Amino acid sequence: MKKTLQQILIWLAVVWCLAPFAWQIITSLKTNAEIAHIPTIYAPVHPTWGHYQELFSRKPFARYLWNSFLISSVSTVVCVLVSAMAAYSFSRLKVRGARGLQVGLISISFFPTIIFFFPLYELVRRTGMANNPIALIVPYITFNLPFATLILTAFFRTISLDIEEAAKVDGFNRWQILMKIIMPLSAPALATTAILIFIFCWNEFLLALTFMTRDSAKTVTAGVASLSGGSIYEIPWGAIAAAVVVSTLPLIGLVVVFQKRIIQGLTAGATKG
Amino acid sequence: MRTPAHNKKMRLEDQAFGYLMLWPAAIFVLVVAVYPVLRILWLSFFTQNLGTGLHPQFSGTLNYVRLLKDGHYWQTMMTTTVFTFIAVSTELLLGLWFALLLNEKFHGRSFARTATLIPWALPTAVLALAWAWIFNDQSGVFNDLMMRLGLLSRPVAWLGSGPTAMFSVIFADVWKTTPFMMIILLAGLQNIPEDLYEAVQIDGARAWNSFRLITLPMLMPSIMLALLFRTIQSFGIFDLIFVMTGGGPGGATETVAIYNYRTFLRYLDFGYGAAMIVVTFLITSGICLLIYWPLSRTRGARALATERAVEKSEAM
Amino acid sequence: MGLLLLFAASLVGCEKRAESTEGVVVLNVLMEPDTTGIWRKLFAEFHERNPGIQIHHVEGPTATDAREDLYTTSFLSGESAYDLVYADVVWIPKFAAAGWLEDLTDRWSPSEWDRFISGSIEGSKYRGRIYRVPTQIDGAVLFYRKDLLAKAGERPPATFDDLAQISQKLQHPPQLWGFVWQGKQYEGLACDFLEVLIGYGGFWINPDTDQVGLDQPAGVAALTFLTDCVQKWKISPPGVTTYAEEQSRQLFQSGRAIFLRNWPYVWPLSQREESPIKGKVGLAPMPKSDDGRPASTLGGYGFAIAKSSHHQDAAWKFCEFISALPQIRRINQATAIQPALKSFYENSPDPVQQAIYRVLQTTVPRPPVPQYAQASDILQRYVSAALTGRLTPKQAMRGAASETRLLLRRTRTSKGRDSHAFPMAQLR
Repeated sequence: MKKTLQQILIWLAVVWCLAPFAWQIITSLKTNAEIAHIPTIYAPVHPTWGHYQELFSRKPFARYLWNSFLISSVSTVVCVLVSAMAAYSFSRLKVRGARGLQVGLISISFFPTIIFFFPLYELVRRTGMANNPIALIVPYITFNLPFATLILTAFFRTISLDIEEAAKVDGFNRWQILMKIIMPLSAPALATTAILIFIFCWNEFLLALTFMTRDSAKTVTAGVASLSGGSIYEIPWGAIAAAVVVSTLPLIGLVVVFQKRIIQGLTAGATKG
Repeated sequence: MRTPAHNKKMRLEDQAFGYLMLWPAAIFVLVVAVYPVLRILWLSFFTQNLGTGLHPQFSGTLNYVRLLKDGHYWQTMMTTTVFTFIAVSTELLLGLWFALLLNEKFHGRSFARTATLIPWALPTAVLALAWAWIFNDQSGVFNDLMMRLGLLSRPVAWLGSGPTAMFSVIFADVWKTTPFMMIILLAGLQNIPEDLYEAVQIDGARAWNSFRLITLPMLMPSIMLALLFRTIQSFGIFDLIFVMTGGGPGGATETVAIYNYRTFLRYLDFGYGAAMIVVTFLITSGICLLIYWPLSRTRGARALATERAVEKSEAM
Repeated sequence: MGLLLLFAASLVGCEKRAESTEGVVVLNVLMEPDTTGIWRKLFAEFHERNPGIQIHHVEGPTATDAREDLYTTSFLSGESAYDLVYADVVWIPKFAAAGWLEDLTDRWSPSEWDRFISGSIEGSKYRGRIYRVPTQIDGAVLFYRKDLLAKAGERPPATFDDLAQISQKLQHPPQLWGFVWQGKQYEGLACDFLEVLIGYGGFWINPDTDQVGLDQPAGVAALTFLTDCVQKWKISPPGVTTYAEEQSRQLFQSGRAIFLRNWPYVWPLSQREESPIKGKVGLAPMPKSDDGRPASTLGGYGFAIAKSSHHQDAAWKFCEFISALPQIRRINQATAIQPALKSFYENSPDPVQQAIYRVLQTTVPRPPVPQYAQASDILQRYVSAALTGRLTPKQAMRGAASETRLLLRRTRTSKGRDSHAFPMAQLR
């Protein structure tokens, strides 16, 4: 009996988690008349792809997706690289000042973005980098460094020193050891880190909204949010629903495929203390 | 050739290499994190707004004095505090419940875990639009469901009045962040050794007791960490509310971060905004210390008590 | 590694948006959606007359604040996305103080500027210089039920006391309320309050001295009048503290109010066939007290030119075109927006337009200080607190004045005006 109750509760929880997204899928397939219909229609009678078409024609949505993808990918790759380098140093080499950097990194993860945004905005303005992806990539790399170095440092520590000793005997220098031996061995941790960084970058809003003012430069989050605004009567809810679906589908894919890794990554970060 | 001189040379090379490896990260941190914090501190002592033609004028503590009397700021601070308190405690309770549920093995567990990850993984700003639609007064599905379930007799204009808008926003935030709590707590749960439970059960303890004496104290570290993290984040909440209600209606859901953002980008009051960031940070840190200092001390005491209890039962 | 460098290189050299093709200059302007289609027609006509110039309408949200924010972030980021600015009056001090607008004062002679209603020019100025060509003007009007007043032998109220007395005498709530206005906490509330404030002879902010007049006796009297309407005399419905323009208009249009303070757009709507008050509506300027004068808050849009635009002369050609009488007439026909051109009214036989014209002579601008948005926010909060009974009018005005003074202060030691970044304003 207890088991069945538990099962029911679990499935209720699952439904609750998926419902808003599912509702957006349904809304995106309804015609405008069905969307406005009262009482609410749950199963579209005349499903239509019209909103998706409208979405790509009314706004440069494909462009938004590309921008998000580009910025997230580049940030992820560079961040993984930089944090691997730092993690190697933290885990293997006793460097003066490393502690300071580690403390600095941890503190970053405690500050909400609003603290950094204005001086960064000033920098962006002064260097003329507004609407340039670099304006977002550099901050994104930095904000993910604490988390990434944490995971990788912990993982590198589990790699036995013997392997490195053997490699040194074979004539490898430190850099080659890092790149050709440690990194490949760390593939699982790197993958986990990369996925989490990618998700973070894709979802970031505050900086994307502020630094990218030109429509063609916007990422998906800034672009979709700019679809709204205006009076309640002229918001194209169908197109918005289509936008929500399209902009979140890649992430859903990531989560489905990498579910285990994501959970590992999150908990590694949380149980560090 | 392992002479002492050789070893020293290796160590120095290692040091140099270690330094080099840290530099990229250090540069990023300096430019994107350290510099902004220093700049904000500096800027807060200047008036730089439209009244000064956007030129900075030294004004000492004027911004801070003005902030003290700024009714709008304190109102948003109150709104944010209420939001944080309700949202975070709800997330914690729900997250704990989900974690306990998902801790057991069952059919389709993997699917359930994937599903519960979805809210956390999706972009808040984009989902905020979905929520605005769900809570729409005319055609929103929330009203429809509530009426079909008999909980409401007439549609409610959720985003049209202060308290109901707060409810909607908190609802959406809890939906998004509960999975994160759940994951952390689940990991914590899975770290609790089985034998602890067995030891207590030998004494004939009931489920509630084993929860109270073992689960909760052993989970405390995870709970504390998650709470701390989420509280700080919740105080700085921006994306969800900005897109869902814009801080409305009439500023009822306007949080400090939104007022702060508008101070910079709408009012162009840069120096004042900087002072606001400093004060907000101090208040947030203060609140965190206030809550977690006494709690962390009890955590230590309870963990100690738990250990003693377990030792006693093992000795028997 | 090499791939990464390639990526980085491609990012830095991002293509600049090509705005003008061979020979044709494209001017970008952000406006609300063109629901009537009139702007599209006018842009096309302008292009016919000036083949080398094309106007590109960037569709923005209907909410005026949202569009202001879009212009602000665009200018602030240093990118010249817009050449023309379709600007509300309240934007001018902010945009001009930030240095984003081109000074247009010398493009026309004073007599040419004089073709526009003086209030609309005042609203286009900052520190004595003109930054905008006004195409429309808005000024609040006191609408009243002339049938009810005539039946009772009353004339439209000239003073606030008259307004209160007539309301109390003729109303029978809740079927018929006396005085309906906009009491919700938003920009409209600042407008409503400002009219009563000037009507009592007070002032909000003196833009030349940064003096704040809210806590003077006139300010307290003005706020007391509004709170008395709601709490003491009860001539305004309690819900008035939630009304914006539309709710108040709907109440009046369904015949349930004697007096309505609102904008001229109410007139054509109230005279539609299905309107219960068709033929029963009169227009008058806002009332005053002995110490004050009738005041109507100034609103309305016009075209300004971005300083960062590379095509300012082309933009000016457009401003000249769009502000000419024929185009103004067509805009008014399509959208019922009140023109800012004097000749429109002088040549109009319509008595209602004449009545509106008289009201438009009494317009007062909201304080043309760059920090206006914040000052308005402060005022709205305190007025709203008094209307809902949380504070007394005196407490509210004192609080509002004190916060406003801190807002306008620039350095620790200055009490009022301090060193300006700009030369002293000429007294108007």
